Amino acid sequence: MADYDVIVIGAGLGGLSAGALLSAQGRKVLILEQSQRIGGCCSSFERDGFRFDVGASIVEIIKPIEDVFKKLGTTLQAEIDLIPCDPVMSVMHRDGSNLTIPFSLEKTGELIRSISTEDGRHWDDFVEFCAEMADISLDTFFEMPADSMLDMLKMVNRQPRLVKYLPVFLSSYQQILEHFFKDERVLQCMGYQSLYFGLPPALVPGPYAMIPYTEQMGIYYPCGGMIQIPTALLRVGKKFGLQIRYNSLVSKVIVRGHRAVGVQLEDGSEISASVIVSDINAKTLYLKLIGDEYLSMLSRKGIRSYAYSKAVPMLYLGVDFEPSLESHHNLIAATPEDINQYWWKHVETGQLDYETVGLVCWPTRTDPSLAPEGHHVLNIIPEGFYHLADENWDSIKDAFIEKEIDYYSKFAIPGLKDHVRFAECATPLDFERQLQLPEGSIYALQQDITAQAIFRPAARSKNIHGLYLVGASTHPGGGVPSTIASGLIASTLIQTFED
Amino acid sequence: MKKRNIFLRVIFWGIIFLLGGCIWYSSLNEGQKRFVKNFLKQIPNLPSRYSL
Repeated sequence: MADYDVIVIGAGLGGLSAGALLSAQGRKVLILEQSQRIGGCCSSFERDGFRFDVGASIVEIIKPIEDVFKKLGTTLQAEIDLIPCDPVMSVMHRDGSNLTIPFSLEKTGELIRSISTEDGRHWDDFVEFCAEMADISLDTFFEMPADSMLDMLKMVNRQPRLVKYLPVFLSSYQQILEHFFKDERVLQCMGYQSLYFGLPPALVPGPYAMIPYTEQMGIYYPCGGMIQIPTALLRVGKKFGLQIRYNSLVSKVIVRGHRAVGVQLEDGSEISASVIVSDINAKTLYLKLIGDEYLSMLSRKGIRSYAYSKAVPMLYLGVDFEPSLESHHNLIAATPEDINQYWWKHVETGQLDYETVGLVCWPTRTDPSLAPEGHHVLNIIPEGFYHLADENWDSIKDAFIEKEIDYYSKFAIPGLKDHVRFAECATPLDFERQLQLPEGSIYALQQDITAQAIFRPAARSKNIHGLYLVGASTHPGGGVPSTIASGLIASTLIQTFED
Repeated sequence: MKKRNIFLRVIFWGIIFLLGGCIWYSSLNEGQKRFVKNFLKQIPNLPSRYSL
């Protein structure tokens, strides 16, 4: 008799949604979290009276999250106070001018028409194209497993329109955008979003080009910080008996006869379970926690062939003035080609550029309770990467903070430099150490077309029975809605195969 | 004679296909070239990734 029905390794969004849903199925579930905090990248922490978000800064495409809470017998709206972010974002140009994208398809169309009549005409076509693609994706990729060719056929059977969009999978994010839009100023509003998937626009698969559209379906911020999402999942899960242990680093998944039967913790203690759900990086899981002796020769090659996804540094600033920004999300203007050039010149060579594209999140615009009165929180994501050619993140951290504050003071947030009351930075190395993200990989594995769906590690392991994967390492990939959806997919698979 | 004809046809169409591919590839911009290159480079990994 096993100690638990299910052990979940990691209290990220995938682990929490799977844990809560499996508890609701009547199983005895234990989540083992290596740190003292839940949520992984979708979390928050407090310093000097300011509440900062660890990584994820907003939530969009909320349908998969609504579906999970519905399955848990409640609603997303009842559990989390989601505040709509309007405007959707501002695009900051280096000459100091701003372009603010409203939360309205019609008004955004008007704005684009005012920039370019031709692109304005194509906005309607783009909306129509993305609306159908979003509808298909939400009904298939966010709900169904993609472990085998049969799963893919089931998706096509449910949504035959998927076939029409197959060529889009063989196009890039940039190609799709440039098919609809030509004006540089219009493209500058849509280039940066490719980095939400950890790659430049030339390498991100075409279907993700619908992001500038899905942003118009609504961008939300949870009142109280991003940690409210994992907190709500845990709270609802606990009503069904979900248990969690903090500071419990799993060092080994115990496998007997090609079946996962338990885990060993760092202190040497063992806990048995009938099913193991992993919410950690798949490479760490298969190569370190399990060992490649349990994998077929083909799978050994497969798991080693994945590159880790990109890493980013995060700058957490507490300031004592109201920054001159216009939106919750503020992007530095960059065309898809600008982002590509940044990638080829800097990411691939390891040469850090302190004055490059980036994202400024201003959460206190949406939720003032995150900072003391008269103060504000700014989370800045300057672009960066794990491997530096000539330096080390630990040695340049202080200089990095200073240079980035200088840079953003110069044209994005005048006066910033003189109003910083708290400044901290989480480098890719910090993410690796604190969140156990190898190479600081925020989306686990690279998300190009050859690491999607059936070519991403399967939710139901093909090598180890009773082992299931959730989180960014498996289908549908990284990001708040995707990782939550992975928990839903795994819980359905477990209900099908483990009862 | 018939076998030789088939062989020549395969060679002919192979060369045409290759030339067409080269012309198409050279007409792509850097980003598109990288997308294709990345895809072709990863093709040998696809069966092993599928096995996971």
